[in-house]
Amino acid sequence: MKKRMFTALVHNQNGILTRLMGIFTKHQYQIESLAVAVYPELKEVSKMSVVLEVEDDHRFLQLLKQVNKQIDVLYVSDSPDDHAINRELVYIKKLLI
Amino acid sequence: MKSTTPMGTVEAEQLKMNGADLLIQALKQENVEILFGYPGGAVLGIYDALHKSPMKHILARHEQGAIHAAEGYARVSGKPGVVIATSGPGATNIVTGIADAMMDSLPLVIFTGQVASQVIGTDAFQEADVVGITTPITKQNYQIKKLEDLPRIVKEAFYIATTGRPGPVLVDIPKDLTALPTPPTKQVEVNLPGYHPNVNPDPVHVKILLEALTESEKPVILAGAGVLHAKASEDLLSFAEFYQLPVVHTLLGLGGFPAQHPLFLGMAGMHGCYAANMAIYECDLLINIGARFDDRLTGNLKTFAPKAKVAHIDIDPSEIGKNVDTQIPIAGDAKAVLQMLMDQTVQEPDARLWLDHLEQYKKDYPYWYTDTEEFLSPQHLIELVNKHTNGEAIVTTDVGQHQMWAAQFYSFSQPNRWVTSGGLGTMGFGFPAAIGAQLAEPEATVVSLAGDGGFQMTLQELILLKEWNLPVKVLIINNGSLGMVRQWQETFYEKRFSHSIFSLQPDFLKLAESYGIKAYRVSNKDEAEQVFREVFSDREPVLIDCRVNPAENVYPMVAPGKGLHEMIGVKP
Repeated sequence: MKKRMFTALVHNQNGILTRLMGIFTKHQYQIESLAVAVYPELKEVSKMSVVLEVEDDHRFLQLLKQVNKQIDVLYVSDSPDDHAINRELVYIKKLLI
Repeated sequence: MKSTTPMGTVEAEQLKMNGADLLIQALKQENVEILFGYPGGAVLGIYDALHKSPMKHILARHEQGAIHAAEGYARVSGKPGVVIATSGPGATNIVTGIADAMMDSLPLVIFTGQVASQVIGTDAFQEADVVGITTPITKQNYQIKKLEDLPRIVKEAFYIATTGRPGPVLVDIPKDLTALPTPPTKQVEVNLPGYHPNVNPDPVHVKILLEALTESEKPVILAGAGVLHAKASEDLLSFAEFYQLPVVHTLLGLGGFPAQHPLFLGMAGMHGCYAANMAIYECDLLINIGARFDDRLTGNLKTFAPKAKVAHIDIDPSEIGKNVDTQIPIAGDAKAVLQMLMDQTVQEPDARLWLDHLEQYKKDYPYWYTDTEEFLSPQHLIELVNKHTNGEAIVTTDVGQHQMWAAQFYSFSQPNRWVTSGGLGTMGFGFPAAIGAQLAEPEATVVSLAGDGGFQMTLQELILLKEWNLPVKVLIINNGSLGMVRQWQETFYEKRFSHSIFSLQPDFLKLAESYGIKAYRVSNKDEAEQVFREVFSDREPVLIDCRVNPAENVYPMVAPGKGLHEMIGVKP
């Protein structure tokens, strides 16, 4: 098991979060952390960062492709970099506390 | 009363317009000719606007019938099927059809009524969260919040449903919006920054595929429904003939390549033919064009095409590499890629021995069945239908034994004649789909092959044959059971036939009679021959209760967990 984070830029349309979360459920992934925020410079677009535990790279790739395929997803990137993921998690924790 | 000046007429029309009129106007702009639907409280406004419109509306007798008819219409015409249902139960009744269209990539645009905006979320009368329910089974869905968004959303819905890999799009419209006065639409633009349906095939990978083809000694093409969606049947034929490549079809791809062609091996998969399955098992180059390597096609993945280099051409990049490791991925429309493949010619593979080898398989191990005097065999029945329709009819089915026999024994020589529920495997699909198919092609001979189980799920639509004068030939392949369930119980559950055999059946002849449709019962070859000769020469709707051998099974078969080369029930 290793942590992976991916980031998606999404077109802010009704139900996009539900649609993407449904894909995680369908692919049997549990989300460790989820952060979504509207881009201040571009109100139509939100950035979504998701951290999850990944066992199988092939299955994870299928998940990314399914997310990328959604009509309102503009861009998806993923990061296997532990450092970046931990930084993101610390940042989210700070926001929560 | 019309105003005296043309300008005055336009102004008067504008003043009278409401949200529902705006929807009908948007449908006209999308060249919608026919709607399949069922009215109810939340769509009263839309139906009131429809009352003033000349648009054809098919009033099904159950919303499920409406959506399956729309699927049949879409499959045959290539145009989007348009469905209207009311909120709550109306919308939940179409869920199966939406999931079916999603699995089989059929373009549908569905409009559901919703309770008024002010009461959404209060569990109001006939309220259901339809957007929530249909999110995982739609390509995209919307709820309209502001009336000014309606024209854009309708335009986007049609654009999304029909481009790229087609699929169902649902638009949920709160009732109050349909009554709001509104000015007419100005020109609207779609706003879909994340949607890029036109994938340009990578010329480098196309070249790599051609190089692999030249080096190959045992190439085979696996052609799926992507060929039909791309209208690429002729391109496939040219490509296969030019390089002398054998062609295998998926269930949904049937008709993409002519069944009588010497290069055609047959359907592959769980009930595919020996030559097709062995071609996949033994090949050294598998060229998948528009198929998604469904589990019913591949069997055990560990032994699927074990010696082959795999090329996969698909308009949906997420399908490539999903189930089968792919060495040559080509994302793109089947027609575009086939044309690129034909633009440059390479040395054709030396595959004469391979073709002879496969030809021998075809000759030695065709589909087969045992004919008995006692019973009418369902396979013979399909052969008779094939004979009386010259293999040119539009054939629709549900799921199960009758579907597999139809796929095995009907020779599809043209594209878009085969309407079946492949991915979702929906009982009750075929008969309403035949209604939609006949409406799409009024001159065609449409045969609805149904099981006695599936037919009873949507038989209420029989009245539409009378009402719209649709000469659909309904053949109930009646074995008094849920045949495929019974077959699996026989094979894998030691003949414990748990609730798969009907102890009572309706009298299908009297049923048809009550709907004003003539009906026959046939239980042997002679009766079938005689009745078919009569009914296939007229243009009347008919129902034929075909009493077939109740113990017949579908063979050959790849048992679950087995590889394509491990078929049972191959011709001895």
